[in-house]
Amino acid sequence: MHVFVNIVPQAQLDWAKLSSLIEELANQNFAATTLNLQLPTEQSLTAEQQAQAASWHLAVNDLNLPSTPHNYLLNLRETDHVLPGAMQQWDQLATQHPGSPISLSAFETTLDLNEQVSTYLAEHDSSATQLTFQNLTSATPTTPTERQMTLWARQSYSIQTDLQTVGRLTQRIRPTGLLLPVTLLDHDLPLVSIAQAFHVLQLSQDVLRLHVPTIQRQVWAEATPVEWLDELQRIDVQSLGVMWQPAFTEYFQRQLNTLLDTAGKKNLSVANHVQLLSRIKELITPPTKVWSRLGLLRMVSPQMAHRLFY
Amino acid sequence: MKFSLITPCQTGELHQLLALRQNLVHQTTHDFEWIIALNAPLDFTESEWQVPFKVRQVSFDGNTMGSARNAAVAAATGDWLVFVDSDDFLVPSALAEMAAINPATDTLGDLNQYPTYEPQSSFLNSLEQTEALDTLPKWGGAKRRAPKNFALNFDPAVTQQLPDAPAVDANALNWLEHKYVQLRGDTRWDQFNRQIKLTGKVIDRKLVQEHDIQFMPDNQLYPDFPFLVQVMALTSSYLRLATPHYIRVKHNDPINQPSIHQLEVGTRWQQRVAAWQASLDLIKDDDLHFAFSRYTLLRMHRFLYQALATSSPVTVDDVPALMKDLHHYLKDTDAAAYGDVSLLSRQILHHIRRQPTCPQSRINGLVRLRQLNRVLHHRGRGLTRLSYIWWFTKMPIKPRVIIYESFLGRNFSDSPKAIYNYIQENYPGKFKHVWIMNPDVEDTPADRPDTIVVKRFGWRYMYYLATSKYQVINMRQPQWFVKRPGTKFLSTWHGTPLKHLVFDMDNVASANPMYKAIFFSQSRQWDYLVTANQFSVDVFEHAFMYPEGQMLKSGYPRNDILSAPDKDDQARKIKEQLGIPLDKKIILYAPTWRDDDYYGVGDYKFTLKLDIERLKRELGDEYVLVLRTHYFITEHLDTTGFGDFVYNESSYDDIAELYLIADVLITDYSSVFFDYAILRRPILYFVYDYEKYGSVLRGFYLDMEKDLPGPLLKTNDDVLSALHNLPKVEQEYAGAYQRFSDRFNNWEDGHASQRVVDAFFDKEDLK
Repeated sequence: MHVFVNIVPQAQLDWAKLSSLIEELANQNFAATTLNLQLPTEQSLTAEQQAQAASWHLAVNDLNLPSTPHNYLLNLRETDHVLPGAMQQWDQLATQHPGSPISLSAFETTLDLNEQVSTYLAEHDSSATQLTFQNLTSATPTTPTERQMTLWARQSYSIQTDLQTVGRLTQRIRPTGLLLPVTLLDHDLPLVSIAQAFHVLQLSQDVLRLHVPTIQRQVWAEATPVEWLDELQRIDVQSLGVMWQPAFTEYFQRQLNTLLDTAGKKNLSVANHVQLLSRIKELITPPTKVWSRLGLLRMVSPQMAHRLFY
Repeated sequence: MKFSLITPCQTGELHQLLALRQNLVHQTTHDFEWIIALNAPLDFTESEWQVPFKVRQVSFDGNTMGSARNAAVAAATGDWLVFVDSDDFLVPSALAEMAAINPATDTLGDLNQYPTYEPQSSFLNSLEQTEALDTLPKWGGAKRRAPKNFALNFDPAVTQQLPDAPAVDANALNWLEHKYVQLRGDTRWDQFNRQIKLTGKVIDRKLVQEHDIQFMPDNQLYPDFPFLVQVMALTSSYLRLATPHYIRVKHNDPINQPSIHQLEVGTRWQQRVAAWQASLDLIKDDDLHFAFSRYTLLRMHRFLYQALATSSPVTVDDVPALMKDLHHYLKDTDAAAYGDVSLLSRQILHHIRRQPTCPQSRINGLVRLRQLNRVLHHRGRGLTRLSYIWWFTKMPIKPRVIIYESFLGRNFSDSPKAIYNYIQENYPGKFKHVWIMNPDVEDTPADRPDTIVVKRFGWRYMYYLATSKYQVINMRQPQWFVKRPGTKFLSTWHGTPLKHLVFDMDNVASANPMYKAIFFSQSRQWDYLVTANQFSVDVFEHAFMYPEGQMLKSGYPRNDILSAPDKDDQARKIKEQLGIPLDKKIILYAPTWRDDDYYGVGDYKFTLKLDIERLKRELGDEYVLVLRTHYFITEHLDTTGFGDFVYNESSYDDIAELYLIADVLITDYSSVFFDYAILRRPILYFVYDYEKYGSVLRGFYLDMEKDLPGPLLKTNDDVLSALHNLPKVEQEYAGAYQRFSDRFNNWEDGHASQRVVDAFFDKEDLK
């Protein structure tokens, strides 16, 4: 397995967070990695940053991916994190079941990692696998190191062939946090886009889901709701096969509902929130549940919805 | 030597042994010996037995699995005994994984069983098409139990990435690379169901030999229980590989190739209880005593009552003797274990525990409540069926009622229709006729005298299915159908067999795995089976395992119309009815439905490979084309643009009427040509994908190259050329046509219905 890690800034590039992510990637001791920073045209690096990038072997805007088997693309934002041992786990999974996209479960970046890990392990503490490991280490995990090891112990995956199940599309169509086989990429589509992820999904026989989180990431719908809506709208539903059209349409409407929910958490300015509501209102198609946010937005003006939801 | 593989084998299972040998060669470690317990000669000097591990054969007294395993265990020299049956196989890394774990000697190891109906050969073929290392055969257990998550093993060097470099136990590091589940202490007897199955178990040899632990040599069906409980008592933990490594192949032909668990033995429950009793007597540990009692009580709760209920066939030979054995056994079980069984079941078990008699009414009541519960669980679905079983089948039989079903109620057609028409014409008013139809069928005989139409699976359907004296059906009856004494069942079947049927099929892994067993029991309910020709008689005898004496050698009633003296008049009427100009000749195109045309629900590839545009251009003045395709394709076929050249009659009820009007038939791998050939009109085979269909054709009874009455045509040019020169084609194939007719159609003289009716119906009912 060779991983092409493509880092795209969430907004204006946060150099400190990028440094932290690069350090986490370097600590993986995984030789078969290529790093690239995909900077928007309006952003650039200082000379000092360029020198630092070179020392990290971080290419800038070099998007030439060799289309050979066993190569995978992983898009990340610089605000994301990679947990210890992640790449070894991906590599092992790709060896077991090559050629399929890998959907990674993730912890949140907005919450404390230690707390999230503790909660996660507590939820699964009756699992026979976890108990077996704890018997071998003769302790319940208390330190971060022990908790990390217990996460590894619990690691498992599933081979999912129900590609069109709407409830799981959120795991499978996302611009960052997926391992995409390079051989399935469409080079006419942006690397960091749901169109690209969706294209790969449509060409796949199955999707691998790695159950225990190996990364920490922020959900696009929460962090950058406007960009998320842009991404969703870039999919041309009419060009999809008859199998995919109804699945994507339903997924799209669900995502609008999610957006209404997350955008109301005052991440956006008032003006941007109202503008987002106006755009969403135009995109609603029936049927919608009356008592969902989407259903309410259908009935009231964006301004009224702003007062209700914000 | 790390492992001794123990494989008992009967002489009839040698082919399985050879397949297992191949599987073992592919194990990633060969640090094992293979001990085969078999009372037949094996020549290990033959080249095929030159394998990279030691193989030994032992013989044994008697013919039970218990004796065979005892003999093999006694001869073993490896550290660990591994029990592998000859019809099963192992994942290549199975033994290496267990070796890498290197369990403590007081461990009961388990390679983790995975049931499947897929034979090893078919699984190996599928492996060749993938690079994946985690491929498993198709799951053959209960759907809800299919494993969804697979543990991910990885290199323990990953711990070096942790900031404070922890001192981790070597066993824990090894575990990350070779994950397993270990039950010990409080959880030692969890997952008892898995622990109590022998195959795939890995057990310390010395422990077995030192304690002289034996299988029951005299118990034909359940020799393992005492052996396993002794091993369980002597081990402190149960260790199962986290992912399945032992593939247990379940048998899908319980009639010809039953596994031990599928054998129909009237003393099965007695043997089971004897093995449980012997096991319980050996258990000294209280916790194990409780766990074993609980396990056996739950088995009784789940399986015993169905075997004893009088509403279904009782499968126990000697109920009083079984009650006596059960009475003794239940007295020895742990009283606390009854708490896990439901109240009604507990009452039954307590009754037997108190006295050795069968509480029949309670058992019948419990089985009925279970049936009712199933209906309630499905929100009322199955209520009519339950009424059929509970009440309708207790009502008196109506002597002059005939129930007909054609293609599961899809239409009014085929031989049931021909028989119905014949009786209506020759015995008017003698019978009440009941036709089973789906609600959406438009053309029904509802308005004809003495005839009613009932909805399939409706209330009236259940009533007439239970009470009619005569049943005439052209496919299979429902699985729950009760053959009542005094009723007569006629299976007309629906065609001369072209593709391999039931017991001639190699692998029905994709269909219901119980298909063969179900078909066998259903066909035993047929009093007569209508056959069209001697070829069908021969095929049905082996494919259905149906006795020749019960076959009616009559020809097909549905084909009488093709030999009728007024067939030209009938053809004219049908043409008028369909709006086809009388001066035009008719090409009937009836291709078969190809599995790979189907992509999934709602997505079809429905392009016809026949060039209709060209046919219209070159033959439109003289011919029209009548299409008859599978209904999946029909709904998605766009024939607009061909004007009055194409008539899509795919939903026309009776295909025999389309034969009658057709001047030439174009088909491929469909069996329609058997019937059409009765008309002695030309037949062309448009087989554009003949090469691709090679594997399918191997599953045919006919040799498509030699046996057909017309040419195999692979391109549209060939088809057009043949249509332009039909007289020449007819001349070329005159000899083949004659041979074909002699073989398949020499019983078809237009009087098949009469022969069937005379043979099937009671004379006094026809008077």
